[in-house]
This record gives sequence, C-alpha cells and structure tokens, in this order.
Amino acid sequence: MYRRQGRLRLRSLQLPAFLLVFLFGLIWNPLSAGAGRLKNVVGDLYGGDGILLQPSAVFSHAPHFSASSLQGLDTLNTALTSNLGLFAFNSTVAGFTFDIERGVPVRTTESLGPLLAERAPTLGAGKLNFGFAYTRLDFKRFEGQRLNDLSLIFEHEDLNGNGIRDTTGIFSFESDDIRVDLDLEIAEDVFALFATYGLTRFWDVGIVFPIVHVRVRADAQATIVRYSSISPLVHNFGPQSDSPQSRAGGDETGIGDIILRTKYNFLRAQPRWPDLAIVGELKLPTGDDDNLLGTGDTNLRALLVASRSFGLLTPHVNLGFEWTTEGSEQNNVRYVAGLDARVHRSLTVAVDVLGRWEPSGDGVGDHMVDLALGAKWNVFRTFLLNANVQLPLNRGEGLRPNFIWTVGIENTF
Amino acid sequence: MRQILLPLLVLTSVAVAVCPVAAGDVAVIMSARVDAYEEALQGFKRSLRHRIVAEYAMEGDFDRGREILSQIRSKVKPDLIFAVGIWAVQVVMGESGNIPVVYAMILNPPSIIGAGTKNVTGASMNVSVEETIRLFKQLGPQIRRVGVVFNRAKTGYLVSLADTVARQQGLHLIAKEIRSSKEAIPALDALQGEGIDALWILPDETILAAEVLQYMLLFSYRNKVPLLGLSERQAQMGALLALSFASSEDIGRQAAELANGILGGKTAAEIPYTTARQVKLTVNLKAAQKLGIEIPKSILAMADNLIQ
Repeated sequence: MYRRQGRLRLRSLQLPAFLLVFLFGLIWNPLSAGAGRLKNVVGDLYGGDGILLQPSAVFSHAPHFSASSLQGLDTLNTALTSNLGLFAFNSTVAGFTFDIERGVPVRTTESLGPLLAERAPTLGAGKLNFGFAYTRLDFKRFEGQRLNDLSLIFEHEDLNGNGIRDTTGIFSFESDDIRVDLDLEIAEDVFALFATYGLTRFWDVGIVFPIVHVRVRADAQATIVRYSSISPLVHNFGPQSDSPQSRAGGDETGIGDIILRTKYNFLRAQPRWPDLAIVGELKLPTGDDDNLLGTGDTNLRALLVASRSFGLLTPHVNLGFEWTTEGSEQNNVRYVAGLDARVHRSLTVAVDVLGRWEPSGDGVGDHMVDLALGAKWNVFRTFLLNANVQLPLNRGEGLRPNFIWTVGIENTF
Repeated sequence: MRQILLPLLVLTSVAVAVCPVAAGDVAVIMSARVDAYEEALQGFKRSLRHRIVAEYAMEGDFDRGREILSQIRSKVKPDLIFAVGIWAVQVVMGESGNIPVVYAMILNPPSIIGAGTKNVTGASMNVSVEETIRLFKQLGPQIRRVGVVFNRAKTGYLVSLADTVARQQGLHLIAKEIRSSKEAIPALDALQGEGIDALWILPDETILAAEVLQYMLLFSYRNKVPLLGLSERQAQMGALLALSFASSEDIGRQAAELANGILGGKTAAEIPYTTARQVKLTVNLKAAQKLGIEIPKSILAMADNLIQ
C-alpha cells in the first residue's frame, strides 16, 4: 500500500467481506415470526393471552389460565447479547523492537495477541486492520435448566373475585394449574465486520458492524394439573378450547448493534510498569430489539487494560464497567484475565477468563463467567486466521450455550 | 553603475523571498515500524521544508522493499528518497539510481555505503569520536591507553578516525583486529597484556555477543579498568560509563536539514553524513565504587542518568 499525501488508497482488495455478508444476508431464508417479534415468542404462545379450556357443562364458565411468570424468558434480547464476546482490538503482527547497540530492528517474540481480551499496545499510526468473524451460539440452558425441558405454570383466574384461588368449596377448581412443558430452541449466527485504524502511534479507533441471524422456536405441550376433586368435570381440553400444543417462533436476519471503539495506550515500555491503555466502546441500538437482533439500548463501556510481555508470554488484564440506557439493572462490571503465548513464529494461543457481573441485576444471569481458548495463525505477511471457543463456567446463570465458537480472518494494511 | 547595482540587489532579494525555491517531493521508505524509526520520521517531517508524497514500510521484507523501490522509481518519481533504518538503506543501495538519498538511524555508514557512492548522505546514530575521546580524557590523567576490539569490515573506519583523534588528544588507541566473534575473547586477553587503562565497546556487531559482553565486564572488574559501553543497558549490566544517541527525533531532524540542503540545490556529495547531535551519558556509580575510581564532577554534571 502507498499513501498519497492526505489520502489513503488501498490496492485491490478481494471482494470486500461486507459485500459477501450482505449478499449472504439477502439470500438467507427468513422465516419471520408471525408478528415479527421474536422477543415475545414465549409470551405469544397460545395466542399471547393465556390458555382457554372448553367451557364446562357442569359449571358454566370459560376456564381461563394465564402465566404467573415468564421467569425471565421475556428478556431474551438482553440474555442473548450478554453472552457474546467480541474480537478485541488487537491484531498486531510481526512486531519489532529496536536494538540500540546493534542499530537494527529485531523481530520480537511477542505474540499475535489474544482474541477476546484487549492488550495495551495499539496498531500504529496510519495502520488499518480489517477483518471478519463468524460466531455461532446454540443456546442450551436458561438459569441452569435445559431449554428443551422448561416448564411454565399457568394459573386459573380468580373466578369468584374473592382475591384468592379457592382450594375448597364449589370454586376449588380455581386451584388447578396448567403446566406448559416448553421446548425452546434459540440459536444465533453473528457475522461481524470489524475495522481498526491507528490515528496516531498511541490511539486507535474502530468499528464493529454485525449482521445477526436469530432463530427462535418454542414448542409447548400443556397439561392440566388437577388439585380438586371436581376438576375432571370442569377442566378439559376439547374442540372449543385452545389446543394443548402450541408453537411459535421464527427467524430474523438483520443488522445488529453497531459498536464504535477507541483505544488509547497511555503507558508503554516502562521498566517497572505494564503497558496500560483505556478502551472505550459505544454500542448503538441499531439492531431491531423486537426481533432479538439487538438490545434496544445504547451502552457505553470503559475498560482499563494492562498487559506486559515476558518473552513468549503476554499476560493481560482488563477491568471496566458498562452503562446501559436500560437502567441500573443492566449496568455491569466486565473483567478479563488471561495470557497469550507465541508457541511458534506464526502461531499464538490464548486463554482467558471473561466475566460479566451486574451488581444491581434482576436475578437472571447476574454473574456470567466464561473460559475462552483461542488461536491466531499468521498465514502470510500480515494475514491472520483466528479461531476461538468460549465455554461457560457457570451454566446456572442466564441463557447459555454449551459453547460458543468463532472463526475469523483479518489483515493489517 | 553603483546606482543601479544596489536597487537591483534589493529587488533580487525581495524576489527570492517572495518566490521561494519550488517544493521538492520526498518519498519515505522505512525498514520496519518501530518506535525509534517512527520518532525519527516525526522529526524529519517537522523540519522538512518540502513535501512528503509517499510513505512505505517494508517490515523487514526485502522483496517487498525492492517492490517498493521499484514503485518509487517508476511511479512516484520523487526528488529525494528518505530511507529510515538499515534495511531501507540496504534496499536503496542495492539498486543504483540517480535520485539522491538521505538516510537516518543507521550505525557506521561507511561500512554500509560504498566510498564511491555520491548521491547518498544522512544522519547516523553514531556518537562522534571526538566526544568519546574527550570523555576518556575527562576521566583523569591516568587514562592514556584505550583498548578496542574491532572488525575492520564493520568499524575499521571508526578505529582509524579514533586513532587520529586520540593522538591529537594525547591518548593512544590500542586496537586488536578480529574477523569473527570467536576471536573476541582471545583479543581481550591480548589487550590485558598491553596495559590498557580503559576499554571501549565499539558499535561493532562482531563483539556484541552476550558472552563477549560478559567477558568485557569481567575484564573491567578484574583489571580495574573503566569500561565505556554503548547503551544504558550495558551501564546497568556493569559498564562504568555509556554513551548513546539521545533522541531519534533529533536524528530525524538532522536528516531533514540534510534533505533541505539537497533539495535546495546542493549535492549529496557536498554534505557529509552527521553523527548524533544529542547524546545521552549514563554513569554507573556502583561500578565506580567497585573499580575504585572517582568520577570527576565534570562528568557527573554532564550525566543524564546515574545508576546508584
């Protein structure tokens, strides 16, 4: 690449990755949810207004049951996006240090950098890093329960208006419940384009542009849980009731929440200190939150990053906080600790522990901790192939897959 | 006649001031993106009075360097090439051309650039020989014989110059020539027999292997001989003194001044290469104590860094 004064011109690029992604998105077969609102898939079961049984000839009423709680399944969008780790700013390739005694640059043993964690050094003035990553999330558990084995309880309405569900007397059938066994399928594919530019030697700016495909399927099977002796006479499924089975869901594809990023490396190459940087991220609500493509909130994240190389190993720590416009419940502390190691001239492996903690959370997924294992391969010149797998360490929290895998490519110009 | 001459002179001066020499185009080729080279480039940009029209980084890849040079010559066609670091200079030297070249951030230019090369000059990282010899003299009257080990191909020119300067200052340079690193330690042993009063580490790759450096430090302590090193790191390892260039940015500025001269009409052959204008002196007081040497106040006053 060469630069004319004041302008940056790139040599011929392969078909830009973003064009490929757009084409892919256009031909993707979207099976839209009936109301185009994947967010309410669970709430929309049985028509969204509870379960109505066949009117009883014995006791004339329209038996109506409604869900006492969706147990957090109504907040799928934030549950989904809280899982995803993003490829970090890092991709420095083929570092050199300067040997002042010999007067020559020397290739460093420093690694290619971690994948999901940040380290302090920046790209370098005028450098452009451009990449593409694909992430697959196949969710399996919600708050520790398997998604194909969830249960919701639908309660009978208070028919006689006495403020309680009678357990005795002629209205004892009020104590009946309908248990809905839920088989939920949630999967997400994220195609992210990212670019980072070195404004100065110490300051990078970047953008992440995600295209998201979400699939949600809910299959429900309702069963009457009888607590009164007259229940079989009063409560039954029949031709004039909702079906015991219900299905809802669909697919959606679209732009996710775009992220603007910046990193400033304010301390470097000091003998007694690690390299230090601050990273700022602004997540914009560009994704359709009704269809789980985004959170619907604007988030601001600030991270303090520390890293230092010791020969082939580079330990690193990130600590920060994320504010959301949703409110204090979603505000969270972010932390990462790990190290990356250059195991070969062109291969770096990384291991990290990533955490997200909501101090004022609502009790669902308040503290999520993952283990990330990744590798970067410098195929030739400045071209990298990346791969990463993220394993939840505490599956009892929030909406969790068994693992998240990501592959990507990037190049620095 | 005189009545015409004076107004004519005034008019000419005004004309020159109003219509300066046309700006020249400069292409930059950098050996690798390291902080020292980036700083030199920043200094170059700040002092250059002409345009930089293209910048390249070869990232240590000589094939890429040659491609870049080919592009510079065929497409960019600058008035001057600024080569930062030894690899960029080697690439440029490898292909003869008539575009003048100014370099920065290399050591021992005469060992890299052939004597017959006329269109190249630049700003080296070398500390001037005069400054080094002066420092030895300031150490005290007991310093009369300064020992060096060198490889003629790398620092022969430097030893020759240092010998002349030393004699002018009333010192003697005791030089042992070697051809490979293996010969360095026997050469140091030979110096021991020569009764040297100080040992000088030259910026010569042949003697910079770790084991040779260790041996020099041992030599210094065993023989109570002050050792002058190349860097703060060597002083921290135990050398009594170290002299190195202080600012990559200033070396870049020096290079820009040379470039301004060439683009202003001079030839590179008319402009000799420069040594580092800003120098950093490190003094290891712990080493001084172990060697039983009192560092003169004049040296302490000049020191940029004291190791205690």
